[in-house]
Amino acid sequence: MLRLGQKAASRLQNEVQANWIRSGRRTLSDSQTSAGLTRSIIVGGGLFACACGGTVAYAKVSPDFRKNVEKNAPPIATVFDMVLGPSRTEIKDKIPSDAFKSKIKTKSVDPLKAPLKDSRKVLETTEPSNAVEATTPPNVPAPEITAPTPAEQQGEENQSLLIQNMQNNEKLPSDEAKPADQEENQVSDVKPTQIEEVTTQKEQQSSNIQTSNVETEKNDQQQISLKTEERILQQEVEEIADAAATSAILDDLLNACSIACSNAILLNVNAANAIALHSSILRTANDDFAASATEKSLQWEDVAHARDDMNKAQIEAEASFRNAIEELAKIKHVLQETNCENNHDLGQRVVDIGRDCMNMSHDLEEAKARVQGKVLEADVLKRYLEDIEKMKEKFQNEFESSLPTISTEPEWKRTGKRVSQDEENAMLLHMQHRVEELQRELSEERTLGAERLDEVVSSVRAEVEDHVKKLAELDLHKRLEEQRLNHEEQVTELQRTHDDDIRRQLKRQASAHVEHMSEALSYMERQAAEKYEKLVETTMEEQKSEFLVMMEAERAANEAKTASIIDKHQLELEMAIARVRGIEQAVDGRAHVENVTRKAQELSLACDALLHTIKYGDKGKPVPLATELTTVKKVYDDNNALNVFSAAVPTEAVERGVYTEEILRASFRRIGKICRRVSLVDQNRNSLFVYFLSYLKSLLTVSSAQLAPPTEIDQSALDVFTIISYSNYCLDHGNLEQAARFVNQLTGEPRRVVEGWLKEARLLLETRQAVEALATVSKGLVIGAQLEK
Amino acid sequence: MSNLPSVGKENEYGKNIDKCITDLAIKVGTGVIVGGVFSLLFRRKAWPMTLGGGIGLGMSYSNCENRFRSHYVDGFRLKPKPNQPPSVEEIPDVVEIVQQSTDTPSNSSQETTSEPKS
Repeated sequence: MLRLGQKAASRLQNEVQANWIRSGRRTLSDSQTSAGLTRSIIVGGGLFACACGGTVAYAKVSPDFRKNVEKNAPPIATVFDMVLGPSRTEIKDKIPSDAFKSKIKTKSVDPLKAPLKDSRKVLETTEPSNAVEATTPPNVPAPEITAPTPAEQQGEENQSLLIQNMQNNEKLPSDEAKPADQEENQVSDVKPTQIEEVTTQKEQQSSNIQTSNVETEKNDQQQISLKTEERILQQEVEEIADAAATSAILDDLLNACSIACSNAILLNVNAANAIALHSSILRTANDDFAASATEKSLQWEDVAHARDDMNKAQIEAEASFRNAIEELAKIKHVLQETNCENNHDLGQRVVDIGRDCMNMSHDLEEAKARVQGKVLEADVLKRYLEDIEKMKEKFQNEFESSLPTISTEPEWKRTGKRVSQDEENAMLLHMQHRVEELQRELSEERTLGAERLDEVVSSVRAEVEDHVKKLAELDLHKRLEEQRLNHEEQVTELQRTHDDDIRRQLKRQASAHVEHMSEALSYMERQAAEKYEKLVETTMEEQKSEFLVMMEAERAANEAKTASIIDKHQLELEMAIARVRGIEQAVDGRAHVENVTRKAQELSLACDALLHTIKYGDKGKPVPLATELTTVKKVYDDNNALNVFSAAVPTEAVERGVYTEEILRASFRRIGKICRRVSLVDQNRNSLFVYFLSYLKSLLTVSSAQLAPPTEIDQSALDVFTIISYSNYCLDHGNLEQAARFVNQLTGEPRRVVEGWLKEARLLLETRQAVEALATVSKGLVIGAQLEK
Repeated sequence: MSNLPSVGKENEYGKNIDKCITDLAIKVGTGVIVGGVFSLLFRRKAWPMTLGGGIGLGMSYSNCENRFRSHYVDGFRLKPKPNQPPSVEEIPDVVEIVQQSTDTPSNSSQETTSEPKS
């Protein structure tokens, strides 16, 4: 019990220790799991950040990747735009000038040079002109800008108006860009529709041509006329394309130009404003004495900022001005190069665009002049301020030089030293002197100033006169330009109407000519058809009659020939028939004999086959005899003996076959041994002990394997061993029948063992007997057939 | 020997002997094992094993005997004797067969063959 208790206690202790260890491991694992969790979170977060950074960097490098990602996940596009800025394709859409430059480069070669040269050769273009008329976009409302006057008093108001107009103009180009695009699309749509119309017309015409191809001569001339028409239409189509292309180009250029000019004007206005602002701020900063120190410093800061803005604005204005001038030059170059001899609407368009360009250039120059005026003002102000500064300094110096003892105001204020009365008096006296001096100078200046003013007025008047003259000249020049343009317009208008008239007349003439031609051709065709029909009929008649005569002669000759041939052949045929009959009879007799012999031979062969099968089998296996028997039956259907003997073959042999004698002999050895071993066993004595005894007996009994059976047999002397010996002997000597007879004498268990063998032996004997009978009959038949020969 | 087909029941003796031997081995072995298991309960004595072996031997002996006897004894009753081969007198004449099959005795008399020796 104690031991048990001790054991239990120790076991309990072990268990507790194990549990503690397990729990310890668990806590460790818990903490481990928590630590592992945070670690995994950190790692996951790091991987995610790396993935994001990698995608952004790759998007920056490869715009295709960026496009794909934006297509698949639009929210990411906003992230990309924030981080990387808008994609290049977006920026490209917003900069039209580059695109237009590229367009000019590509298109300036083809449509302006080659096809238009071809179009000079062609006479008429009616439909395309109508189409192009429909596609001319509205004129740019540039004339609004020609309002502002050069007077400086209205400068600000005009600037504001100008800015508004510029903004409108900006809007209009942007709006125009859209309708222009739409119209471009319309043009491009109209172009294909026109081309489709033309092609359908052509197709109709070509189909008409095809239907009329059946007729004869007029086709050629029709085809020629149609071909020319086709060529004309093709050229018309080309012209439409060219005109549309040039108008598109001009629209594009105009848009760019207007945008650049408005930009330049706006920037120039801004520059002028900036300059004005700067000068005003400077003036207030200088003149405002009442302001405190901090306010002053602020004001001076404002001045500095204004100066920076002014400089920047000026630079921008310069750049934009240059850009606008470039654009204008470009468009003028293109306008000069466009050749619009045949396309009056295009010419009209060119004229309009030229006018607009001129207006825009005028406005640009005005803005530039305004800026320059402001710059001059600023210079004046600067000089004024410099003078003031100089005066201040001079006064300061005088003050210090006259009264060097008295320190400057701030120092005095600082030290708080009181100035003496003398010094005060001296200072006041000096001041008074100074004031009187200044008053004298002022009066002198006033008088001098009046004179100078008169001089300046006169000079300015001269300048103004010159300026006015120049303006008048410019105005005149402008009016002349306008008149010239009007004149050109009218000329183009007249030309167009004239061309339209001529085209219409020519068309009428062409259609009349074509009608006349078609009538003449149809008449001639009818005449020719009648003539040829008559000719064909007469020739046909003649040919027919000739042919009939010839046919008659031929038929008669043929009939005579065939009659003679028939007689000859009849004779020969009868002779042949007689001969054939004789041969037939001889052959029939022969055939009968041959048949009989053949059948006999076949029968003998079949019987031999049967015997062979019985003797040898299929390497020992039983072969069904059904096929051989049917062969025998087939050969000799009507012989009774054969039928009887083939029926006598046992059915099991027919279906399953028989074992050969060899096999039976071989198997009998084993069977004999087994019979010896169970020799004592029978129905009454069949316990295991008897089996053992019989086995023992078989071991101990000495009996020869084969014994020659005596001629007389004593039935009591037969026992298993002797029977087996006799049977072996008979089998070895080929006497299966006798062996079977001996084996039949067994009883009891040996009999049971041997039963199967005996059955097979009987079967074999029966079959062999029947087959031998068949063979004998067949031999007899063969002999009979031989004798018949 | 192995190529020879078995005509009848000559192989049955050998098969029965084989079955007896295997049966003996299995039963004796099983008996010994069961006896051994029981011997563990009886303080490691040998007699349960011999008892088991003996029971096995006896069972296999009786099985074997019944197997060999099964053709003669059905449980404890004798089976009826099998058919004897037909006696000589019962085998019919070929001539009679021929006469029965054909209706023309003249043809049959011409074509009769030798009688089979029985």
